[in-house]
Amino acid sequence: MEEIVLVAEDESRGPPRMQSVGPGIRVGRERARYDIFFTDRRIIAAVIFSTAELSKWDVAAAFQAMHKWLKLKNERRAQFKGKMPEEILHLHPESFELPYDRIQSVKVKKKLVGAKLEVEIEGEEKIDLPIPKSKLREIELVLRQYLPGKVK
Amino acid sequence: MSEEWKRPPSYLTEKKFSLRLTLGLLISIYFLVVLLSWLFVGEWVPVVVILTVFGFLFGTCMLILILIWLFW
Repeated sequence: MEEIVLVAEDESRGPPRMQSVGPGIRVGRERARYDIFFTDRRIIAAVIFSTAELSKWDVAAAFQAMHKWLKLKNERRAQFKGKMPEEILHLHPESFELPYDRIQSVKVKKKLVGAKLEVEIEGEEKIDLPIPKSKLREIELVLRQYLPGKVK
Repeated sequence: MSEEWKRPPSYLTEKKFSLRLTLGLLISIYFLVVLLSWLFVGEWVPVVVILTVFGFLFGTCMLILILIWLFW
């Protein structure tokens, strides 16, 4: 049975940054926020908030977006409790998985603001996955355990 | 694990703005301009003037880049 070995909860204080307001609403590069589940077989990025869930009125009113962010984040985290990894993965259409056997290499990078995982997957482009800075050490240990020789 | 897996959305795999590459390019241009101006002018005073003007532009670009990097 698949086991969750580490959960790295998103530590952002607000929803992804919105850009421009009005009829031509555009959002920034970040479109979702994820809690990351490290299991003994894969990494699961489970959406706790997606900008697709915001209406144009929410985007126009920053406080409304913030309210929705807090509400959805807490609701999603309550849904994750007691669920199996496969169920967590399918709770939201934008959630995704990175099976360890498909990962070619992974870099744990500390940035000025936050940290990220740079994951190279076979047959795919490299992806950047934001991770909480406070869990950097634990994440690196888990990755070294399950991806020996692939952590740079 | 099944053959079919839930892949990351395409926006996570898009090519991203590379701060390191852009800064490297700007620093190279900066030193190139200083070197060329010294070579052609042959005096230090105009070089210092160019350096100051270019440094100001360079500093502004750096600031914009850092702000983009922090908040984008």
